[in-house]
Amino acid sequence: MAPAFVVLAGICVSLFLDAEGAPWWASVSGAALVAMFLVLAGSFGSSLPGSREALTLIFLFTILSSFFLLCRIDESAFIERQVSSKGTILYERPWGRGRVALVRTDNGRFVAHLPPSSVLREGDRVRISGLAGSFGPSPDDGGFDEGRYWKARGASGKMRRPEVSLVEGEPGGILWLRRELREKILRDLPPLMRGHLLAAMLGARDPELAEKHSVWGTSHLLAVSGLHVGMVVLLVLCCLPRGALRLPLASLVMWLYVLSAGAAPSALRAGLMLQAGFVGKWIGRPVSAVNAVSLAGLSLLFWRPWFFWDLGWRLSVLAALLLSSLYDREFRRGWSLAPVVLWIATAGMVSEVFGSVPVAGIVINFVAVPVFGILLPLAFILAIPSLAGIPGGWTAAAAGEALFVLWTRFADAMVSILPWKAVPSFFLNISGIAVAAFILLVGTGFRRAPAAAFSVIIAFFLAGF
Amino acid sequence: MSLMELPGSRRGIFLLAGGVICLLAAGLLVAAFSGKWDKNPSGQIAGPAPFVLTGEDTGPGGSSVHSQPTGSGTESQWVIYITGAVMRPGVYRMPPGTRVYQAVEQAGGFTSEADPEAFNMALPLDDGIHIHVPRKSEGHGPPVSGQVGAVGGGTALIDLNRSDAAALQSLPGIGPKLAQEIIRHREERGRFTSVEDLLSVKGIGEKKFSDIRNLVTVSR
Repeated sequence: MAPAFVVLAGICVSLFLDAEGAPWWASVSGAALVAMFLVLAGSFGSSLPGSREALTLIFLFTILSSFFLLCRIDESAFIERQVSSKGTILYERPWGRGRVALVRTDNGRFVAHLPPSSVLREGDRVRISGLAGSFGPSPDDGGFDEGRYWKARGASGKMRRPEVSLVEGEPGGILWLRRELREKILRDLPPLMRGHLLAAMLGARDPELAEKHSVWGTSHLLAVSGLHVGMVVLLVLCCLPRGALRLPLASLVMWLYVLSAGAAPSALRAGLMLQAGFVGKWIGRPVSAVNAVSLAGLSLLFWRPWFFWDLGWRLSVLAALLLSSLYDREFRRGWSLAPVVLWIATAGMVSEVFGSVPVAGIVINFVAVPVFGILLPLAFILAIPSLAGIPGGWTAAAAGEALFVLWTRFADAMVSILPWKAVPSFFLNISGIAVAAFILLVGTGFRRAPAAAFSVIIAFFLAGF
Repeated sequence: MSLMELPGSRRGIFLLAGGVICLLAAGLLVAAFSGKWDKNPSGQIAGPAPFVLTGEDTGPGGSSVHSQPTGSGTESQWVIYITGAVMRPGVYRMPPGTRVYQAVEQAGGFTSEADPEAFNMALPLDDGIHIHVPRKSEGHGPPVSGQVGAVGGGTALIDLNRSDAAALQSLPGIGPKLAQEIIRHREERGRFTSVEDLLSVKGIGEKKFSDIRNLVTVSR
């Protein structure tokens, strides 16, 4: 049994119930029932894991953490007030027909909608004034919830028709690093190298490249996740000699990378998971991968509970839990089928948000993960001469571009062979939930027969409602 | 005899049965609440916790009755949001036909900072209106976006969610075609949630929006 998974599952059910309008006691009861189900039914055919004290502690922790997170989610709304303050733009991106920025001020972090012609960039020091208020109500149809999206990114409110003007001063630290890197990448690299390195190093998305990856079913490659963080850690560990400082230094570089890449939920999840592994190694205890992923997911929810509604958090935690379960337990022979399992498990969720999910993604992902595991570090190395301004550096960058062109041709060919797209349906949802539930239950210690029966019941409950 | 002391097979059955009961109970909770309740999550109501004063509780010495608003008015009640220089800002249920002075009274009256001259007390209200009572220090400038409702002069604001084409055409720069475009936008994409949503209507740009932003409102 993975205790952190038990707590995570309980908390997810309580947040789900809360969002559906259940009173707090029903939401907390839901968390406790799910935790008890996982412990009791997971112990069928074996003995109850751990001591009574440990089990009591898990139940208590599940109940108290559910209650704590429900209180945070339902905390009183931001009080409308006039704000005029200096601040720093932490994040800036296109938004509908205009642009949007997240501005950190002394009064809190605010979302400011800007006209499409705005020239403000991440890291700019600005003076902002306007009426700051809370976000609009959640849509009844389950559509995009602006409030939850921005609260998961630390915003406390929204500025309505703000007046924003630049003030003197350069950004420092990570913001400066991100700005410098972005400028160099945009200026010195060819298109495909530029798009992929912007995504991998800064978490920024080139709209054209994002569209291509969406058609190929490989959008996850543009989000900084376990693949990217793992590659950085592996690279650092390979370069550092053995010794007491090896893991602390690897941790330091990893978090520097996670922060400079924009600290997206998937990157934070991967960083926390690897950090749990490092801590386990330091204290000499083996760390279950399922437990480490659950702990990472839990930590993010404790930090900002609104991550529960973030598609990035959901996909990242689900995919990492499934991969960990496949790796940890009885599925090792089926490890090679991981892309198929992940496609089925996430297709329902993805198609609900984006309208469809390409079938070609199943085949392309068999190749994509190993190829990008080599291609991205190689592209980074080939980009260095050009980014450093070394004469002739453009040649190396062009070689990297050629490799990405080859990949594009392969992926396009696959899509032309398998042009179908899966659209949202009850069958897609129920099969995804059932497959995910089965693998997770077996991964956390259930026997296969009861796991199969329970996953069908869970799928009907979740897909039906 | 505790669960731990039972023989293996019986213990297994107890564990499985306990697990099944817990799962079904959790499932029933999910089934009971999914999509059947309309909850206001965090962020729906700006301002302090709202409260409603019922008729029999508002007399001298009477206590106020606290209750959550539904977020939308019923046939017999309007929901009014009042902020600014009043004693008790918040969301109130009021009878149809209410005017600004009645809403101010319901909110406990002006504070000493209020500027009554910058404010038309006789203005008729509508369901879902936001009234902002200006402070003396705020001056007599035009209302800030979001502070829609009974601010400024005595001109009634055009409700983007309720007005017909004729009413919309009374706005500067809005002709029959743009009025139809606003109505079409409302019918196809649902109610306007803020005045700024006008920017997403085809044909309304920054310039036109700045001309009409202080003349329109959105009811919930």
